[in-house]
Amino acid sequence: MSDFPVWSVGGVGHGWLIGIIATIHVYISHFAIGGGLYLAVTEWISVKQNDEKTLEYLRGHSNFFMLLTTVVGALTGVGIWFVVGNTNPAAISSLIHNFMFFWAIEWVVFLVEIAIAFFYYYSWGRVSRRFHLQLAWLYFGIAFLSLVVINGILTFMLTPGQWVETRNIWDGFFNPSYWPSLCSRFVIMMTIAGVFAIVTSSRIKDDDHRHRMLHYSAKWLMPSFFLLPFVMYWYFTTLPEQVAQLLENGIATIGSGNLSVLTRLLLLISILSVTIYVVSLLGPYRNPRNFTFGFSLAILVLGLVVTGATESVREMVRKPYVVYGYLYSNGLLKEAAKDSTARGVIAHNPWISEKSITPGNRKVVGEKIFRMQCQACHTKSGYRSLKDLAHGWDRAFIFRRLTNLQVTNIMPPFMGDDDERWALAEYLGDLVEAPPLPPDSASQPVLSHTPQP
Amino acid sequence: MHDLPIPRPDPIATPGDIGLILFLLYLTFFLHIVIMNGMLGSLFLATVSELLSRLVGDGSSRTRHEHLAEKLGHIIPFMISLTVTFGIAPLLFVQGLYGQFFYTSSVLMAWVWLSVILLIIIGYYGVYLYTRGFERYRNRRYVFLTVSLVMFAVVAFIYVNNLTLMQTPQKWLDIYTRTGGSGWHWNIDEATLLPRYLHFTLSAVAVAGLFVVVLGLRARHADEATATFMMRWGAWWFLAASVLQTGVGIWFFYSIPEHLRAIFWSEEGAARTIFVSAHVLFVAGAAFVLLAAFRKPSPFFAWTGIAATLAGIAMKIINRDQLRQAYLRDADWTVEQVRTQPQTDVITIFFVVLLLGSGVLVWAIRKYRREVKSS
Repeated sequence: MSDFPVWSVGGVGHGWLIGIIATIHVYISHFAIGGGLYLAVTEWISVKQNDEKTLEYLRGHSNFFMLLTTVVGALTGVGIWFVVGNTNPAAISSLIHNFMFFWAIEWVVFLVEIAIAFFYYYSWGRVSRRFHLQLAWLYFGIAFLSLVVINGILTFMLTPGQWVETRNIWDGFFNPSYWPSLCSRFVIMMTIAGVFAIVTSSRIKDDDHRHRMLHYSAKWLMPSFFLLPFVMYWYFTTLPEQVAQLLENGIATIGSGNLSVLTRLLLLISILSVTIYVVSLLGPYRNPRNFTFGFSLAILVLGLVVTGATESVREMVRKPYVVYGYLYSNGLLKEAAKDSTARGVIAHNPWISEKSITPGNRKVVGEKIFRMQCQACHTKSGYRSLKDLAHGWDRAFIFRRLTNLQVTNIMPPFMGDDDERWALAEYLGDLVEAPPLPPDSASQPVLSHTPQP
Repeated sequence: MHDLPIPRPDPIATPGDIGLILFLLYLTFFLHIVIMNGMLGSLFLATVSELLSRLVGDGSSRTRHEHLAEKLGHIIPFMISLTVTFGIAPLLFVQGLYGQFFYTSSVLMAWVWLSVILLIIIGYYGVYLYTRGFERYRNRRYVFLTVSLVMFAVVAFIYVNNLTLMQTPQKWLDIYTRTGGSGWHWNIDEATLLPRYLHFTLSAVAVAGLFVVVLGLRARHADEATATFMMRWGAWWFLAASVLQTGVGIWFFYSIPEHLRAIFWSEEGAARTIFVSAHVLFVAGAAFVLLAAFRKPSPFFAWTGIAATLAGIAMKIINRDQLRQAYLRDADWTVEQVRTQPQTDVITIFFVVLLLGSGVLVWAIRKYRREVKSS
C-alpha cells in the first residue's frame, strides 16, 4: 500500500506532466545516441574523401548537438526522475530499490559520455583528425552503452517477465522485451539523427553543399522505414497477452469507426510517420533544391509529436500497472489489493487523519480516497476528467462501477471496504451533480465504520 | 511508537550494504558539493568582475576584471555539467537509504522541486549566451550572467528547502492538510533554513576564491601581474567568505535544536572528533592560502591550504549526514532499519565500469593535452 502523499496538479493531470517532460527527453536523448553515430560515420567519410566543407558543417552541427543534448537532454532526464518521484513515488522507489546499481552504472556511463561530448566538440581543429575521429566513435560507443543499461530498466516496467515470481534482478533486466526494444530504439535513433541533421543541413549557405547534405541526411531515415515494421512486430510478440490483446483491439477497431484513444494514437503515429518518410523522400532526398529550413522544422515537430504519441501508447498499454503485474499505476501494490476489501484503507493511511467514516466526514474522506486511488490518472475536471467520464451516473451506479473497475483491464481494482467505496461514490456523485440517494434506499450504506486492526 | 506519516520502506530491499551506500553517498556528494561550490561561487565572482569591469577602476583593473569574468565564463558551463552529473549519484544513493523521507518532502513541495529543472536550463544557457555573445552583447552581457546567478542561487535555496523538510516528518501532515497537496510549500518556517543556505552559499564563494587562486597559480609563467591579481583577488574572497562563515556557522549551529546539535559535543560516536578536525583543517587551510597569496607566492603553500580545506569539507559532509540521522532518530527511525539484500554481481560490475570509465577519461585527457600541446 502506498503511504505517500499525493500531489494535486490540477487539470493538467499527472500523465500530461510526465508526458511533456518525457517526450522532450526521449526525442533529444535518442538524438544524443543516433546523432553520435551520424557524427562518427559522416566524419569518417569526410576524412576519407578529404571533404573540408562537410567537416566544417559537422563542426557546426556538433555545436548544436552539444548545446542541446548536454543541457536540455541531460536535464530533462533528471526531470523525468523528479516528476515521477513527485507523481508516483512508489514507482520510482521500486525502480531505485531494484536497480540501484544499474542506475549507478548508467551514471558512470553518462558521466563519461558527457565528458567525451565536450572533448569532441572543443577539440575540433585542435587535435589530429585521427584522434578526433577516435573521440567520435568513442562517444557513440559510450552513448550506445547508456542505452544498453537504461533499456533494461525501461522495458522492465512493461515486461518484468519472470522477475514477478523469482525476484531475480537479471530476470527483470534481461526481460522479454529487452532485445526487440533495444533494436527498435536503435533504428529510431538513426531516424531522429537524420531529422535533426536535415534541420542543420538546411541552414548551409553553399547551395551545392546544402543539397548534398540534405540528400545524405535524408538517407538516415531509410533504415527505420524498412526495418521498423519487423522490429515492432518482434516487440509486439514479447508483450503480455493482455497488452497484446489491447493493441490488437485497437488495430481491429480502426475500420469500425468506434475509435478508442489507443486506436487514435496508433493511427496518429502511423499517419505522421508515413508523412515524415514521404516528405523526407520527396523533399531533402529527391528535391533538395526546393527544400527549406521551414520544411525541416515541420519534420522536426512531426517527429516530436510521433515521439509523444509513442510514449503515450507505451504508458497506456501498461495500464493498470506501472510495473506490470506488481505495482498499479496509482502506486498501490497488487499484493495489497487482496485483503483491502476486508481491512479497509483509511485506517492504515498516514495521510488520512479520519480513521473512521461518519456522516459528517464522509465526503472529505471520499475526496482523500479520490486523491489516493484515482488522481494518478484522472483529474476532477481536466485531463481524463471524472466529471466528464462519470457524467450522468447516479450514486448507486458509481458505487457498482467502483466494485468492478478491474474488469476494464485498464484500471486497478478499488481498494477499500464498502464504507470507503460509498464515501468515494458520494464524493464523485457530488462532482457530477448526481441526485442524492433517497433516505430509504436499499443501497444506503452503513454509516459507522470501525477500523479493524 | 509515533503517529508520524512516515511511509513504510519499500518492500524491495536496498541492494547494497548500508556502509557501502553511505560511503558512495559521501564520496559522490563530496565531489558534487565541491564542484557545485566552485560553479556557484565562480558565477558570483564572474558577475562581480563583470560589473566591476564596467563600473569602477582604471584601465588595467578593468581589463583584469573583464579577463577574469571571461575566463570564468568559459569554465562555468563545464562546472554546471559536472555539478548536475555528480549530483545524480548522491541523489540515487540517498533514495536507497532515506527514500521514504526524500520522496515525501519532494511531493509536499512538488512544483517548487520540479522547477529546479527549468531554472538550471535557463541558468545554463545564460552562461553560454554570456560567453558566446561576449563581444556582440558587450553592453548587455552582464544581464545573462546575473540571470544565471539568480537561477542557480534559487536552485540552491530550493535544495536546502527540500533537504531540511525531509528530515522533519513532524511537520508533514500539517503541511499536507494545509496545502491540500498542491505542491507549493516552501519550508521557510524552518529555523535552520536561512543559516544553512548562507552556510552553503558562502562556502561556494570561498571555494571559488580558491579556484581563482589556482587560476592565478597556473598563469604565473605567462603573465606575472595577472597571476598576482588573480591569486590576491581569489584569496580576498576566500578570506571574506570565511570570516562571514564564522558568524553564519555559529548562527547555523545554534539554530539546530539543542538535543540534536549535542551530537557535536557528545563523547559517544565520532561526530565530535570529525567536527573539531574539520574546523582545525579549515583554519590551517585558510592560513596556508593567505600565506601563499600575500606573503610567499608558493604553490606548495597554496596547494596545502586547498587540500586542507577540501579535507575539512569532506568531514563536514559526514557531519551533515550524522545530523540528518540525529533528526530522524527523533522520528524513531534509524538507518540500521533499512533492509538490505546486496546484489554482489551488479555491484562488482559497477566498480569495474567505474574503473574502466575513469581509465577512458584519463586516456582522453592525456591524449587531448598531448595533441593540443604538439599542435
